[in-house]
Amino acid sequence: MKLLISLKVNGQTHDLAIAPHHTLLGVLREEVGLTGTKRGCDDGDCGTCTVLIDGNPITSCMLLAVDAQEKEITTIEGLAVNGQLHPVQQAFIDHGGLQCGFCTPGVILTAKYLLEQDPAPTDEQIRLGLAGNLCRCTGYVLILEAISASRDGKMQKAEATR
Amino acid sequence: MTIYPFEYFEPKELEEASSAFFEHGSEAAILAGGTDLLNMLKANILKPKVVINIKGVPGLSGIEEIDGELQLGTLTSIHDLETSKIIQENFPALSEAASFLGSIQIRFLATVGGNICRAAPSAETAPPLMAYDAQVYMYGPNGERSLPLKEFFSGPGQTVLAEGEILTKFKLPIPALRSGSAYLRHSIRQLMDLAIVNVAVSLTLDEDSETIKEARIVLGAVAPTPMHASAAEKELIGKPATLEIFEKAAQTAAQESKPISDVRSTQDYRRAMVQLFTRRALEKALPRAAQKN
Amino acid sequence: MTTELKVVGKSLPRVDAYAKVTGQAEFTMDVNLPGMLYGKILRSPHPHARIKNIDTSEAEKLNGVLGVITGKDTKDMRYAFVDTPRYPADQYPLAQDKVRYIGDEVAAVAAVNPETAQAALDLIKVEYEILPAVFDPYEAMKPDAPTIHDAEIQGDSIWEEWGAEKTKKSDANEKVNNVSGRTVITYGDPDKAFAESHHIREDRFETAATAHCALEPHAAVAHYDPAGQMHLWLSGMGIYYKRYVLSKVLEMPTSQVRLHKVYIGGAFGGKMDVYPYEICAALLSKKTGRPVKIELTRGEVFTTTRLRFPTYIDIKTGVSKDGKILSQHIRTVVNNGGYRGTGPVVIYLFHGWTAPVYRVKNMRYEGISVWTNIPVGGPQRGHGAPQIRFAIDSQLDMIAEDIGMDPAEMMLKNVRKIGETLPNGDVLNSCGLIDCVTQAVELSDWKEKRGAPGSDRTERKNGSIVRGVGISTTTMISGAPYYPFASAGIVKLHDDGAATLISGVVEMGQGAETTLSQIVAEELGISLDDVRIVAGDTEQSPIDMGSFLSGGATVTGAAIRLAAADAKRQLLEVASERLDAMVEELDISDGIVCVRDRPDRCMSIGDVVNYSVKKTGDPIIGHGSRKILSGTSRYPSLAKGTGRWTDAYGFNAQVAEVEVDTETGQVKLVRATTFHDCGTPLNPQIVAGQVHGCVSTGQGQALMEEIVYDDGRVLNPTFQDYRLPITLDTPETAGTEVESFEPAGPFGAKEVGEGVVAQTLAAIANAVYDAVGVRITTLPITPQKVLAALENQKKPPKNNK
Ligand SMILES: Cc1cc2nc3c(=O)[nH]c(=O)nc-3n(C[C@H](O)[C@H](O)[C@H](O)COP(=O)(O)OP(=O)(O)OC[C@H]3O[C@@H](n4cnc5c(N)ncnc54)[C@H](O)[C@@H]3O)c2cc1C
Repeated sequence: MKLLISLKVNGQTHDLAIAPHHTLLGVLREEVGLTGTKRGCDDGDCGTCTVLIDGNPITSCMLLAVDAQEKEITTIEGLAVNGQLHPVQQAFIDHGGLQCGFCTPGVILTAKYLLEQDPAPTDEQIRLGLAGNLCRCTGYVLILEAISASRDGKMQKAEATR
Repeated sequence: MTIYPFEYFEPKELEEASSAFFEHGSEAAILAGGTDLLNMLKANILKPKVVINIKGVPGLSGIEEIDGELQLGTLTSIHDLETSKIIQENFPALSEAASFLGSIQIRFLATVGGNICRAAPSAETAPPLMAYDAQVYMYGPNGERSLPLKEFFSGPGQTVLAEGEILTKFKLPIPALRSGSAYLRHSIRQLMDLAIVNVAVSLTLDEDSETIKEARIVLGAVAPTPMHASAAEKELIGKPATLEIFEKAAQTAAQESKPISDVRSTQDYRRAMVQLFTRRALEKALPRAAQKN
Repeated sequence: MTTELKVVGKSLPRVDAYAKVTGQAEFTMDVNLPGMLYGKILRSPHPHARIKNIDTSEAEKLNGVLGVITGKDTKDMRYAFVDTPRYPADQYPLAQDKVRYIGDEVAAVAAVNPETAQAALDLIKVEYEILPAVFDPYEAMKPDAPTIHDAEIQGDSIWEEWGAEKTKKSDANEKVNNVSGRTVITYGDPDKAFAESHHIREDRFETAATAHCALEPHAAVAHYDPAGQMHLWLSGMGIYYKRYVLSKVLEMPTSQVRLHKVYIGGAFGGKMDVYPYEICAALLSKKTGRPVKIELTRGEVFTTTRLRFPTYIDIKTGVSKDGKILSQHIRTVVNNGGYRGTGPVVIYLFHGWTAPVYRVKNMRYEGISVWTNIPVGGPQRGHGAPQIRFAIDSQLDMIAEDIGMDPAEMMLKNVRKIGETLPNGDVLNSCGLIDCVTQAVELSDWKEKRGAPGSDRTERKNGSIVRGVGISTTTMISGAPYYPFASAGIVKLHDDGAATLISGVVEMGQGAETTLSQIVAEELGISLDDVRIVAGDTEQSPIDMGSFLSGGATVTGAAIRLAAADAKRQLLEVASERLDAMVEELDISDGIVCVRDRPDRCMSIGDVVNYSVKKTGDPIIGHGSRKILSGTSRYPSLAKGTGRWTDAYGFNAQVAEVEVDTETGQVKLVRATTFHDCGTPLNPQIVAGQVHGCVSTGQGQALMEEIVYDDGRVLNPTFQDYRLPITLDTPETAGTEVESFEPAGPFGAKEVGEGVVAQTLAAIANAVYDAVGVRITTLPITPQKVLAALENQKKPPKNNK
């Protein structure tokens, strides 16, 4: 049995026929064709499948696609505007906050949420906020640096001039 | 890791949800936040024919103070518990517990009702809700009923919910003056881990601000269900709130607990940690009680 | 060395960064081909069983199932990472007669979607005769233990065509039940030196099985083109190594197996081996005529893609009065699991990670790997170094205390220096160990924090929290001989002055695409922005040793520098004609070729290329190559440890500072001060990233990480129960490179990225001891163990001296 659903991803509406047991992660990757959202564990434990739903980060492996309708879904592909990177993406490049790149989309989306929530988070708040994004390459040091460099309203300022 | 296909149902009324749930019996599963359910489906621990998503049912979420009681809808997200002002002020152990659950990504999805219905011995919100004397409300084929939360769990992963019954809300009395509470969790990793031991305590002091009038100590992960350390609670009542008394109650709590050894920890270690974290939680709750005059 | 570097040595942004921050970087699981099927593997639920019958008929009938294969389809496909005359391959893609661990591959299916593939697996009926199983290596060696590999495996080794010699049956070692590999290395006169020692200690250490935890789960996409080519996208670390083994297994010409480029989402050793699921994807594609994708689940990754070997280490060490190590007797036993994996390699490597660090003239080393019925061991970041360095440097700390010496001082008495020759003949042409130790000691305030040997620690207590510091050192090779035994590179120039580097290197996070591009830019005198890279495709790129054995910077880097130099030579020859000057008079800077000190006689690289094409048709293409090990074509002997092994060693020292909660036993790494000798850092930011990653993994494996088994079943195959560090565990980090130059490497560069992981373990264990006086000798150092030890501790021996 397939259901007709409609998902709004990165501002575009996708009408899809999917089985109800498909997760948002699977549908984004296999039906919508947005493979920037990664399947690292499929258990909710690693954060590589993080997307924003109405601005809030969630693990897309833990949400059925049917259940994600009528919401604004943002994936990593939705951050750059006309080829111009989002300031957080740029900060990760500048500070070397990535290595293999597999956790990077989820980390960047979570970081964007944290900085939108609070333009000046403390070190501790950043660490708490990113606890659900595992990374084995970086030991987190340069990831945390990239985010710290975007706080105190710097992300917002850079965004305004984008 | 592959979910078996199922039929999907989105009821718009509680009644409709409950009767569908009743009709399909053990072949159906309720979907709230899904953070437990999806894992059980992926691990093929559950292979329901029908999944009933209750998120479209009105009136099942929200945090409200009504007549000296806090009403908590089953679908209230863990993130809302963590960040709600009313809860932070009146039920700090509950918001503290919420802040330990999973990650931000999980807390936006997970619901308080799901945490309780999953009935994991280590469930984060169970000890604080029990320490606040939560009453749980259920709706089923025979209408609504309610129970003290401590009577809700019947074993690891098991509850008293009858066929077709859906948890709808919790009610928590607003704590009396001179009450203080705290939640502590011990786990290997600070977050993204399950408790080796979790403890919620609440203390209410007499007018003299010294004698303990009421005490709740609730332990998680050290028995088949979250449990009151009843003997330890009794030991505290009527005594002056001193470190010695706390230590003694903590010892009693450790004796009362029934931990097992598993992949997360050993029996002996858990018991030692019950004692330590009970004492630490009491020490943390006491100044809060003294403040709330 | 004297000329100033413009691109190399700079923390330039990674060339793969844009693709990675935008989600465009393609990993294996992102490859989707038209008509693609999904494959799944049926695995053994038993640790040891004989397969009596497999019935796939129901599965084959299921609508949507297009292919089912079993051991019958892989009968002639014996293969393994270790496949030498002494240790012939012991594995098949799908089990033949027996299964040997829980997770062993039994059958595979391909279907139109993952759900159908899963349903098909459920329909395959396997009849097993359950056999007694054994999980402990010491038990497995007993004569009455179940024998895991019944018959001595016969047959040729694939390495013979590359010069491995058949050994005669006169192997001196007595045959012991289930022993899969054995290494014995001796030099000097250990007995005599023990007799002369002032102090002798014997200790035992044990380390747990740990998992790589690359965030990208292993995946394979295979597409067999009926014209005869097998197209593959694999989660790998070396495309040429995988191609070779796959071509042998699939009985195809090597050049008909093509590995396509994908980014690798972390590897750490776990993606080096060729795995059954990769072969199954290829076989299923051949069988169905359609592309087949197999994505392993996280649980499968945890149990079936190799683990760090659980290891038992006994060390006896004799020292002189002034702390010089005189003699050492080391015995190691590794639990190999159901197949050899790299068991016979790791027991050889254990010795390899001790010889370059401390000067020990009298040594008896014995290593044994043993088949059991747990999951298979394999290479993992450091490949043996974490285990042996944990043991050696824990014991050094103990000995230092015994003889009343500061352990850092004792290290300095024993570490090797530049110019020394190791027992196997390797020469240390660069070695910054002394600097690593002294600088780590200085920057960490070691003297202040540690206090004099035997001094009182009680004043350090803050509530239930006590701080302590510990130190450890380590080493790592820079490439060792293995197929394809060399790396090569091609650099072609464009008429706009840019260059394209073509390399077989695999980018898995280590930054190879960036650092290799920096080498090209530096050599050619252009900016990094003007270097394009084509990498990781066997059809397009020349051979590459692979991104394992830590040879990327030194070997591949050297090959690529030669390729760039070759292009530059050709470029200058053309320019010299055009600019009417001698080649020696020409300089290139910022993409412009000029006659030295004649800014009026210049032309851009693009114009030179343009001129060259117009004149002779030559677009200018440089190439270069480098053998992995210079000056010899023999391989080191795994069994005897003889023979040269690498051209350069990297070195490190680290001081760890921990906080121990004496009430919970919980240990927190608060600060890691690491100094490393990687020669010239090609890109300091990338080097720092490697070091941070190593510290984090070392910290995890010291304190939290452990695969837990029950009768061969992995009890914690999830990220929830197998705990790698999260953001909140990140310590403060300090330290940097020491001044060093490796002549074998490009611009003086050598290994970084593997070694550091190894020293964090002993540094932490020693810091715990320094803090609270309990010595944990079995990893990981869990709160339970620390608390139990604290309770057993009657009087803290430290304060008691
Ligand atoms: C990565 C990760 C980390 C986690 N960490 C923690 C943690 O630290 N601590 C912790 O306690 N838990 C943790 N969990 C478990 C889980 O997130 C919580 O238990 C969560 O609160 C469950 O809520 P849910 O709404 O997602 O439940 P669901 O998955 O929707 O439901 C859980 C169960 O309850 C039933 N159910 C739900 N609502 C009702 C209802 N109203 N009436 C009747 N039955 C109902 C469902 O049928 C299902 O069986 C974690 C989970 C993940 C994936």
